[in-house]
Amino acid sequence: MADSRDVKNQILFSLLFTASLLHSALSDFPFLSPYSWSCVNETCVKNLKGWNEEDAYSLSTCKLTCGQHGVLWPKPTRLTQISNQTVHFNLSRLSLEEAMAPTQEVKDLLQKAFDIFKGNVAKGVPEPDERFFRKIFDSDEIVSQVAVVDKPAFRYRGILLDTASNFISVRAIERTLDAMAANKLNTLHWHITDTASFPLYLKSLPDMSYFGSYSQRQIYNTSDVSHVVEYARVRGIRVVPEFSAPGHVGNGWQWTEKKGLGKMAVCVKQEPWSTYCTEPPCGQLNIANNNTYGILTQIYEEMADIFAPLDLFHFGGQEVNLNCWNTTEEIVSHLTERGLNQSVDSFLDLWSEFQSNVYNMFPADNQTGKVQGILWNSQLTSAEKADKYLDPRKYIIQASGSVKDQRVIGDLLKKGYHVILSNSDAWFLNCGFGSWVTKGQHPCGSYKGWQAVYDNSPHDVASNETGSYQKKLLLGGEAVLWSQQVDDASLDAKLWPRGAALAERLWTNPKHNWEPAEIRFIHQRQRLFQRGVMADRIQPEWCHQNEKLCYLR
Amino acid sequence: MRVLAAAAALIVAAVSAQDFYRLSSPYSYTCLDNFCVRQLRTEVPSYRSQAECQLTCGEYGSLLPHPTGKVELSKEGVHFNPEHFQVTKMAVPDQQVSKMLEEAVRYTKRNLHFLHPEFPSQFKTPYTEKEKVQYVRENPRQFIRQSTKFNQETPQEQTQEPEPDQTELYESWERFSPFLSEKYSPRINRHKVNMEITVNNPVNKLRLDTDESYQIDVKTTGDDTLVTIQAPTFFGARHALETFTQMIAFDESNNALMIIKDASVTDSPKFKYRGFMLDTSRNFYPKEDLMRLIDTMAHNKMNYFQWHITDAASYPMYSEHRPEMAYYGAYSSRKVYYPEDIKEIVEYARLRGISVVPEISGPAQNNAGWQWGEKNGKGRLVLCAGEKPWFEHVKEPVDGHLNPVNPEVYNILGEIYKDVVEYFDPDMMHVGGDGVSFKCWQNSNDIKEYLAANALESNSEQMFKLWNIYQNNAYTKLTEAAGPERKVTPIIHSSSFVRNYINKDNYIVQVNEPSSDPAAAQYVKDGYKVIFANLDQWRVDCLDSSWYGEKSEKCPLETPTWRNFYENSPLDNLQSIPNIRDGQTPESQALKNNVLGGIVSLYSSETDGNGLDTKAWPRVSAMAERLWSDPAKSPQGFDTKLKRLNVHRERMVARGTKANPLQPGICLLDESSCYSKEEYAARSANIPQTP
Repeated sequence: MADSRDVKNQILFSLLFTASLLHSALSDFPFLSPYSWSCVNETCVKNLKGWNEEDAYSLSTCKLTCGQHGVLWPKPTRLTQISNQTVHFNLSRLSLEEAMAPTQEVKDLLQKAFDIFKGNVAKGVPEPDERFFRKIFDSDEIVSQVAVVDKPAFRYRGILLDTASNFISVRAIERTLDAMAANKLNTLHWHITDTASFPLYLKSLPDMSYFGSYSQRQIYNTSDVSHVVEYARVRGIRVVPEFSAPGHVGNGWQWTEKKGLGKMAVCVKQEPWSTYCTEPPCGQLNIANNNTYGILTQIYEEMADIFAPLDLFHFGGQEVNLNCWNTTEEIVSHLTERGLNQSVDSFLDLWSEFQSNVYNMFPADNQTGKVQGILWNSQLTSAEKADKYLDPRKYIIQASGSVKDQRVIGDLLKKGYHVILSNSDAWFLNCGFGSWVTKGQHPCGSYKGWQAVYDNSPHDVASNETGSYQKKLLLGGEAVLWSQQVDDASLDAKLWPRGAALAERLWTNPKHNWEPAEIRFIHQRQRLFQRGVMADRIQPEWCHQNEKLCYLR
Repeated sequence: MRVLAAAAALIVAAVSAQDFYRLSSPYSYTCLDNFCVRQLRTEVPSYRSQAECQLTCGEYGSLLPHPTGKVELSKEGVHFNPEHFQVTKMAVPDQQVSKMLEEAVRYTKRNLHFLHPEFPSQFKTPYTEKEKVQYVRENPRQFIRQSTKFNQETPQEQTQEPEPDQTELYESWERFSPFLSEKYSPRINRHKVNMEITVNNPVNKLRLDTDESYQIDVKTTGDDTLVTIQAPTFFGARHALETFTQMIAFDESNNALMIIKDASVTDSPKFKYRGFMLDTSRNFYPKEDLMRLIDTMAHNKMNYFQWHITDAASYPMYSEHRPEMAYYGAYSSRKVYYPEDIKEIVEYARLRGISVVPEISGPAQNNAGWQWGEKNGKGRLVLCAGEKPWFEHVKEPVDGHLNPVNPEVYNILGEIYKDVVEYFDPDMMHVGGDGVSFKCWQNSNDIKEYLAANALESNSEQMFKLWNIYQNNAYTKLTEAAGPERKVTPIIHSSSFVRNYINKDNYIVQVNEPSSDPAAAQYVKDGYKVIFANLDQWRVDCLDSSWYGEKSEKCPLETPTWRNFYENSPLDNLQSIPNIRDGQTPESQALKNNVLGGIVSLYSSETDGNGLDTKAWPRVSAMAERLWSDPAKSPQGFDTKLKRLNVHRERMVARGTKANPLQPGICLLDESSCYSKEEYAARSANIPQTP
């Protein structure tokens, strides 16, 4: 395989080479490029020179070896030694000599990971021109001596993908996983359903996606889900499915009344939506209907089955609108029957009761045992209520909200909850494209540039709010891409390369801000692009070729 | 693994088929107050697909930009297979127009095939020669049958010679069309869509005075739909073809296309210049990206592609007179537009009703490519090329100005202009004129020596004069390059230099001022021909944080949304001029005629082919409707523009443009569900009181 590709490449390159020679003969192009680069003070400096100079390199050779960390991304945390030499090698000679591992399964995994790596090297044909000459004799280039000792700063390094507001194809999810793996991110939080749509096919409840998907083509079949989970696993990524409840529920539940199970989603299509939810369309579970729990049991069981192996499950718990329940007769009379009033506390009691029911309903995983829950921060997790409603041993809290305006994680950490940080002022990647219901800007404000993503340090946030880094309880962070204005067409450009900035923050957690990372970051963007991810540009290419000249004033 | 997954999928499909063999969707769509409302099928008396509803609901159905003349759309659609669409009659003045029309029809047909959701997206590439390669296929369905239906078993069947009952030529893209393997009812299979096109005028290159109007009529009798297009020019007829495709949608309920049963539209644009400026210097775009942009522009009836081909960061245009420019200035030898590339793009655009306006910036924004001067005895061609920190002179890196006192600069410029005129065959050329820093000139030795030698002071007046020397020389070189046979009108960025030095009869001014700036209106009052660029409203590349760490000063305070793009109206911005909108007096009509149109700008500091589509579309589609239809202000948010934009964005995606969604999918399925508070109030107020 590799051999024939190589030969093909060589033929192709020779052809192109001949073509460009012809061109140069016609057009006074004495070389393919009049420039070379040399490494000066850890910076690749562009010069007007020929190929013969001693310290003159092609841009990619210079980048591989110049600077303490070369173009490694995310930056290793313990030790990095990179020699200033490169050697060229033939891709077909790249092989895994020996995989030492305790079990055959791990050995197999290593082999798969190696094959993926090899595929990526093949895709990563560098900017060909500068190295054209060498390309003909050598397939690729590697730094001659490297030693790296590395370990992540945070255990949970995630990305949230919302496939309910708009559908995202399996192929695009694969691409996202490829890019995550290239950045050592380890968790895909799959927000698979919401009020707007229910694209998950369930064998036990086919009506959910029949009524709830955007179309028959926009459905995840069981095989799609297991494919994604396995694709992620061999790339070192766990998939955490989220089933939103009791809020963000609507489409997909339209069939229950006709089947005699009563209404399960309430406030759907109630007008005006702004009275019953934070954004259209509205819908919340009818927690007064006992049948709801029966259906939820089926959903959880099947999800636990198709997403196995599971160690974390996201129960949602986001944006529950109490007014919706308060205006639903069935729920109000349920309260009355139980001798409760219509106060906020009664509704919160009801909600927490629901939460503890569904937690107990969720089946244990065959391999990992009892699955730990994740919940969004909400009224239930507020400083005054959390103790009463949620057991810190059962739930991890994912905290959104803007750390500029409020305390987001301090109280939770003090109470002993494990926390995942997703503050909207830095790690909501969907912001900045305008409101999608009315004029003006999006409620979560402006676009978060990669610098803001990079500089958002969970330790600093924890330290500001509690006086300590909370290394034990602060599991890590997650960038969130709500997809109201995202689908296959724009997914890559919105996630990448900003997701890479998140990755270095969570893996390396450097003391410095974005500035020293810029050159490596730009290179990482290019690497993602070479691997087929449509990552957005960050700078004019001029800055890539003229390092450190696109400085701040 | 793959096989297993496929097998699993088959099993699931089988199970689901057993469990519930039923309709593809439980919903039906009703047109209520111009919006398609989704309801359960069981709740409505008769079924209507989403395609049919969207095509026919509301005054403009799913047409975008909306026509400016008569619009009559029937409330019904008919199904057909795009294989049965053909042109039956073409009345044209000459061979050239006939060829262009044939190409446009083939392109239109291909776009119809793209509407099938299963058309593999990786093959939706620009319609270049390689897509048009023809091959013989004996039985129309043979190819598909061999490749997909029987490949799992029974290979012996394939050895039989196919019956040569029908031999036709097919273009290579057709192999991937899922329509060829669809099975339809006899009624759909019988249905023909025949088209007759009449064009009167032989004009084959778009100029500012080209008539782009058209009329299209759709009439269905029995199993035949007759589409009649009448237009004065090819360019009008081409727009009619775009409108035609917007009267057609893919119907999920039976996997066929649907066309509005009867329709009649007359249409012409309100503005002559509906432009898109793309900078290919700060980052390079492969040819295919530019072609995709041109396709999408055509789809939005935009007609001028302003190609900001060079800038200080890189010089990707290959000039045969001066190959040094690209050798020293391109990012790499692969990132070069060779003459044949440029000509191919210009021709590709021409066939899509688009003229390419080259932009060669000067005297500022020049650096890359000019480095060879001193080494080759031509002196310093550019000044401020990196000796001082960039922020001393310009608003963002990369610094660099042409040296206005080096005569070699003008010789080289003249040679480059000659090549530009040859490659682009333009009737307009943008000559730059923005970002000029007097400080740069004042700080550089060449200028200091020049001022000293001529006993001139180093003040802004002298700098304006220097600029004027540059501009006059550049103008002369451009006139020479154009030659006696041809007129190339220069376009220049607005500035105080323009107001004081530029002759309004020789130039067109591109007005960059914010929409609320009275200076913008002043150019019109002073009698300049203008193209509005309003960088605060019509700029697509600016995100909130910038590529060098802080927000670029050149970017608007707030990222413009599609609503900004839509609502920025050149004529409304000129309200200080009496009667400008209706042009009732001869004076106001004359001034109105000078408002040529508008242009959106994309400076590529943070953009390349990956982000281009997402950033531009569908925001620019909103602007396209502004410039084509120039709709009057509607009561707060109570119209169909957003829902038409949503449908239009789906269409662009179907054609291979990665346009960004504006709203969640549910807002398209249930068009009345995603209203704003203001819209809700307006709608509630509009509900007629029942007695």
